[in-house]
Amino acid sequence: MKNFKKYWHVWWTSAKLSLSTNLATRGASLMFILGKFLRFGFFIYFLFVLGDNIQEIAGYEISTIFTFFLVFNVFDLFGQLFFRGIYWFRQQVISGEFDFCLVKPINPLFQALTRQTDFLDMPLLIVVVIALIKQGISLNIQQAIMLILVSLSSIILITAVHTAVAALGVLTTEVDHTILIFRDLSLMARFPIDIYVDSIRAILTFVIPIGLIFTFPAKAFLGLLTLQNGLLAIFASGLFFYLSHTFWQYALTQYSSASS
Amino acid sequence: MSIIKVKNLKKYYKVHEKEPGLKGSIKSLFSRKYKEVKAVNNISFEVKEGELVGFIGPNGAGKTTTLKCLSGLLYPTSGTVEVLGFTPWDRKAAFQKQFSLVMGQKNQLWWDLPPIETFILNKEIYEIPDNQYQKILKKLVKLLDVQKILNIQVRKLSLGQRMKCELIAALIHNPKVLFLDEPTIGLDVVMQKTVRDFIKDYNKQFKSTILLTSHYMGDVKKLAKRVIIIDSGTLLFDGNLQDVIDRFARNKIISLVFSKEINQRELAEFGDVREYQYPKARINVPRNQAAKKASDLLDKFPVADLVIEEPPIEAIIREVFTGKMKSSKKR
Amino acid sequence: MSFKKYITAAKISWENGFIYRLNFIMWRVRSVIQIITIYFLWLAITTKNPNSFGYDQVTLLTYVLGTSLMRAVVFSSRSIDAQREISSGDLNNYLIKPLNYFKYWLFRDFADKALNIVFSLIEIIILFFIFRPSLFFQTNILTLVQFLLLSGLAMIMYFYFSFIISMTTFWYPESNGWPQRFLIFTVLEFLSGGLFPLDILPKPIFNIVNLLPSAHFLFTPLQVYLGRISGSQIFFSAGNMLLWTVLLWALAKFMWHKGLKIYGAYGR
Repeated sequence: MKNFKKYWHVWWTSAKLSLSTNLATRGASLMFILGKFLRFGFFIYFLFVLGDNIQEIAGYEISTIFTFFLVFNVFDLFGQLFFRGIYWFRQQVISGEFDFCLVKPINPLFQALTRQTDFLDMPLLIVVVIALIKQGISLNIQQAIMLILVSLSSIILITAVHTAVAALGVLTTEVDHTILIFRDLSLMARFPIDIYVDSIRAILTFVIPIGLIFTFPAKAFLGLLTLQNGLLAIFASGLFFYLSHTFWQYALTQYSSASS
Repeated sequence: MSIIKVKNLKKYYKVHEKEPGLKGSIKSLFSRKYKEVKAVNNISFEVKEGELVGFIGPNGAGKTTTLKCLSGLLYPTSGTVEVLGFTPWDRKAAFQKQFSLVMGQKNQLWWDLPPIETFILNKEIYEIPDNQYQKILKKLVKLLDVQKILNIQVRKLSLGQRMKCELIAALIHNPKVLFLDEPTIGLDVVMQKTVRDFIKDYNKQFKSTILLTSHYMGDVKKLAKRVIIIDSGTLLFDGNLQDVIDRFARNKIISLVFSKEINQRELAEFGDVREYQYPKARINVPRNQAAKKASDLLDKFPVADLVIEEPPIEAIIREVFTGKMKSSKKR
Repeated sequence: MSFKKYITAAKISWENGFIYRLNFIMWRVRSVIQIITIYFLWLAITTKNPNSFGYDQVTLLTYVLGTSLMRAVVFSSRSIDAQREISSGDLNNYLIKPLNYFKYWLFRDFADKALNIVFSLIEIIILFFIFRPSLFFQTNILTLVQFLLLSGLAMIMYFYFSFIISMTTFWYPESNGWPQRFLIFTVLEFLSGGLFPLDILPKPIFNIVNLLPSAHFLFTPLQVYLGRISGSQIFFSAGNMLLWTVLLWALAKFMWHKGLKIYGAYGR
């Protein structure tokens, strides 16, 4: 319990600093927020335009497609909000700042990932959640539990992905693109991954679990997720979490501190 | 023939002040306070061809700003500047081909490529003919002893090696005027000496006019006969280093070695005792009384050895900066 | 005026690009992912809904792959780095040299575009052989020439457009210019025709969007290639593009002069 309190305090303090920085650069912050809303708004409008012309995509009605997009945003923003630190991680490793993380009495992975909290994603996240609530949920108890469990799995998977990226960053400092590749792949899940050809769908489910992170919770929200798939998501999250953590531990053993 | 002419140069900046803390951050969303910084406040001087002049001043004195105005990087708030007959901020190619600016911390070498590639690029930018390029490159490489590292990626080089290559990149076009901004900052003592020796040799061999700024006295002592002292944007002194001592040094230092123990309090009556560790002592006395005090000391105490010295130039400059002296210009 | 300095700059820019092999591969991987994403999206849409947007599947897929290729040529640039150079003060190194900053970056961008198009072509050809979409291949020589000319114009337009964004850092150097760059990227994502062909938008909206410079980076040249604009329409579009190019060029020059005056004002 004490440990949890400590980590909460550390996180909250660094989050406040991040917020201060955002407020200090008011112009920049406003532009970022505006950009995020525009990106969201444009895509929603794009879906409307699609809806004006066609009835369905890959068996889903356009209104359902909207839901998929909203759920995608929930988890996409979650990752960006809490794990913004990963974007600065490479710099930390190269400059040797990471050494300071390693000697402090706080888990270095925690430090690396949560170093920055991007509150600029908050406004949009709130809007998205409200929109989802407005969509209306009609699930029975089982389905509701499934939704909660699968959402947790998504969060665990997102953490696992960021852990793996961090581990890769420790091993080969040249990997700035990995997290961006993850973001690019995530964008594929703005639509349900059913629209993709079987081979690609398989990769997105079993290799780089985009489908598990984004499409599965959306299906659970819509009451469309089979028990089988739900269990798959839960199992996969545990597996990926374990694997990424092992990878991270391994990376630390290979760490060679930067020289000046 | 003055190659650099600066008259009544002024450069003022606007800086935004922010209150600390989260409250301050929120406040700054709504209203911001600006204050005016007078980085350079009415400076005038002239430099002749081939001179090596040192600008000294504490951090924020206005040295770098002055150099930037001379390089054409900044438009002054008012005043005139002429270098090699050109107005720097017109940025005519003919002017740019004849001068060079080296800033201690800002690099121009391409990080991921060997230094030789940047040299070649600069050769093309400055439109240097092949044989001239080869000649100068050879000379510079020899002076700085960097044969072996020309083909190694810059990011793999040590700070000292990088600095040497930065110097070559800046000098490959054989500029008539060279501006050096804090050239030895961040270097270890060995590298500092190397860079200083190089600048001195370069000035001799290539007969270029060199202006260098520094807050290290070592740079100036070693290189410049003439110094310009700047503080808070104003010119405090312009003349020979020796004259700084004559003009600003109020004291001389008498170093004593005693043959027998003495009463320290009695010693203090003669002047300001800076150090006393038997058998040695150092005492500050007013300049014009130095000789008299020395003979008095020899009378009163059992002195085995006595030396009269100038105070270290660092101490004099420090006094100048802390305003013990009224500001004055001398030419 | 010797161009040798700019060609040399382009050459070592090319060299520089190859240095980080892993980085390079990653960049290509991202490019492929982006192509696949959009290709499958439209494949899925058009398979069940042929002829829905005034496009048949073949034309639409050709459009999608065509714009992906065009991106490599129009949007790829090193010159984004100018925003960092201006914000950080590294611009000083260029200002003291007899070098035209615009020309310098233009040539470096050409080197980058040349590199990009080679690899994008290879990637698209490989994808073509894997997924075997039916595509439309333009055979009319005149049309092809028009397409290539407009593509060239699009490149130049984008160069000045992008540079103008970089130059906003003279006034707003915060975060090395990324806020404004991000904002523009976001808008461009939708208004350039990269995600969808602009003419699926409702007519009144499309008419406005089509007047903006963004419509001409990808959409307009590809419409010419597909033969969807022809005759007098092409002249109108080309005229529009030319006008925008001149406007952007003029704005860029103006901002450069104003910006340099400001550059010293804040002590970078």
